[in-house]
Amino acid sequence: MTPLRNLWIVNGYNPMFSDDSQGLPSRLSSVYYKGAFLANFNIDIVIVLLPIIAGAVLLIISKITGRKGIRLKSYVFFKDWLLSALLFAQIHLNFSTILSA
Amino acid sequence: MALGIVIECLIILEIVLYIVRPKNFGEYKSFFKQGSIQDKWYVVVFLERSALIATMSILGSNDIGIYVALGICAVCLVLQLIVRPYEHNIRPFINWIFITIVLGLYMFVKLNQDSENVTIMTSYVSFFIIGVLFAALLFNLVCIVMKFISDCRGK
Repeated sequence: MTPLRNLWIVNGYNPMFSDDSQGLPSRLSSVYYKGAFLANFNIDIVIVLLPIIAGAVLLIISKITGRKGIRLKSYVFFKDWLLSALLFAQIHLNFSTILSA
Repeated sequence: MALGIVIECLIILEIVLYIVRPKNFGEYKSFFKQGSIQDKWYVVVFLERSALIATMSILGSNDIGIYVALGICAVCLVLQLIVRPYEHNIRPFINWIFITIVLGLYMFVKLNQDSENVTIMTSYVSFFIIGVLFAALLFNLVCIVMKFISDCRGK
């Protein structure tokens, strides 16, 4: 697994998060799960950042062009889409916490 | 841990926005009836979800945690039956039943994890959980397709 960890951007293992495999319950370590696998939150960061970035870009464009429709679209990204992304990330984090407990 | 705190803070910020500036929240608003409680029902859903998550995270290692989680699910089911906040209440109600069944099976696993009495139920409970999740997925897919078809006919 160690060489794979160097490709963390594409395989999902992120060295930013802890890899405390020693503390894992035996039901997980016995099927060769590692701490890095359970602390794999790259997709959450991407999902949460995407609507923020898209909304910010649209808001800047609306400020430049002065079009109200684009500004309303940016609000949809900041509210509707971001809330969906956050709720997904919340559930994912929770499952990881329960599995690690 | 830090990511979890950031996400929780952002969700609370979004819920405050949901109450103060309710426009542009799409289906988080349009799926609900107009009314003093119904209109802001997703705040209740958020509180229920947070309570469920906190219970499973903090008390998950104890048997009491799963009883509390099942209690929260039961309260949600009763509240939905009384208030009927959605435009179409059947789908969310059945989804809560799915959650309750999964938690019930999880409770069964927790209570029998050290048991030496091996039965078909204890051996294949994980398959039952996967079966329930698959049924939930199938049910929601059918609902989405039916809504899409009815929307197309409406147009």
